[in-house]
Amino acid sequence: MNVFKHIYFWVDERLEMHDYIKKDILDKPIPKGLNLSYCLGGITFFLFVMLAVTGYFMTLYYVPSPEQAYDAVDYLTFEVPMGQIIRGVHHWSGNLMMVTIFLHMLRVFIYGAYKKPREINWISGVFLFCLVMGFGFTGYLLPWDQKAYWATKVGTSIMGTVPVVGDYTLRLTRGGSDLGALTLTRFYTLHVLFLPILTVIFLLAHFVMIRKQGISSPL
Amino acid sequence: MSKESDLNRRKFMEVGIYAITGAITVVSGVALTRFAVGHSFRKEKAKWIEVELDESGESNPGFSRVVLEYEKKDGWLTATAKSLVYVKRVNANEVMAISAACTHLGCIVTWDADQQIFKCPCHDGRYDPEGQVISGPPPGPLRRHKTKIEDGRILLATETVPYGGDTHERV
Repeated sequence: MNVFKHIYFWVDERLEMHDYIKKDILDKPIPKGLNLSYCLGGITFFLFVMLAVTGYFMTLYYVPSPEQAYDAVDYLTFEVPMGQIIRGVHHWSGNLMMVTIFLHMLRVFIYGAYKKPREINWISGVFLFCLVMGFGFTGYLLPWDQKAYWATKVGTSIMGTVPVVGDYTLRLTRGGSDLGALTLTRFYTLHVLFLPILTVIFLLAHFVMIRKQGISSPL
Repeated sequence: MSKESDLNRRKFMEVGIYAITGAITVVSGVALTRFAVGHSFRKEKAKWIEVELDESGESNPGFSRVVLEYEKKDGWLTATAKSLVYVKRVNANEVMAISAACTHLGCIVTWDADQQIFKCPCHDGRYDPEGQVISGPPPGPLRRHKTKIEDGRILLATETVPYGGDTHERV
């Protein structure tokens, strides 16, 4: 018929993925009686995708250096075309994601959907929640303005109050005793490399498990 | 070749592969960890900085707001560090230098001359003119900078010690 279908069949003849994709991913049956609150996890994932896309593009301009970070953010926001919307989407998606992930977990908790056999998926979700908080904490520093600086100063100082390991955690997080260039590069790397890859791994596990086990029926 | 020796050869390969993989993991793990830790635990040398006090005697109990500015290594950068210190003369040979860094979470306290207290803007920690906690979340008194007086010149160290620590440098 058309060329895309032709290519699709050519590939599928060799890989034999059609039935799997159709039955187990796209046409997977769901229980009756679902409501909108079942969309919260999906909305959270959608926001994650928005954050990933806008974040990737912002790295075109951002420089994680105390001397340049603020000016780079200022430039990418106010001088680059579409800067405000790209950064705005990142900002608001990040804020909203904290809300939706919380509501998603609340729904799973209230409906008891975390119970056997879905405990592992709940645990992977708790890890994802921690990762999202990590994104929030590290991303907050990157504009390198007064709010960012002092919020991180206070946040890392809170780590320092933990008995015994406090000072080690604080120094490892800051990359030294004081908040500075090394803290900024650390937070940047965590924000754009380490946390995203961990998040993708946990998301994959989260989704494979939900597809394998199916979502739990409503109350 | 007997079956048993075949198994031994298989076992040897298996153990060998685990050993090599393990060795690579440990060696690269140690290297990467050391790399990531970097200079996080490096101690900095204290510097002595000469300061001048406003001793016109207008505000009681007469704290001078002193900003210690000094060159400091910040990774690959040399940055200008600034720390606010409230300094007051005790007698001809002694000054008291209270660090403005709140002992709760490191925000900068301000001296409220009307109420005669130090106030922290972050979580409302309050300290008396000695730096002792009056109210709020701070776990302890404000820290002190080491001080010394040489030929009438007042010198403050960039290093701080806890309240009650030895701040007076014997020359």
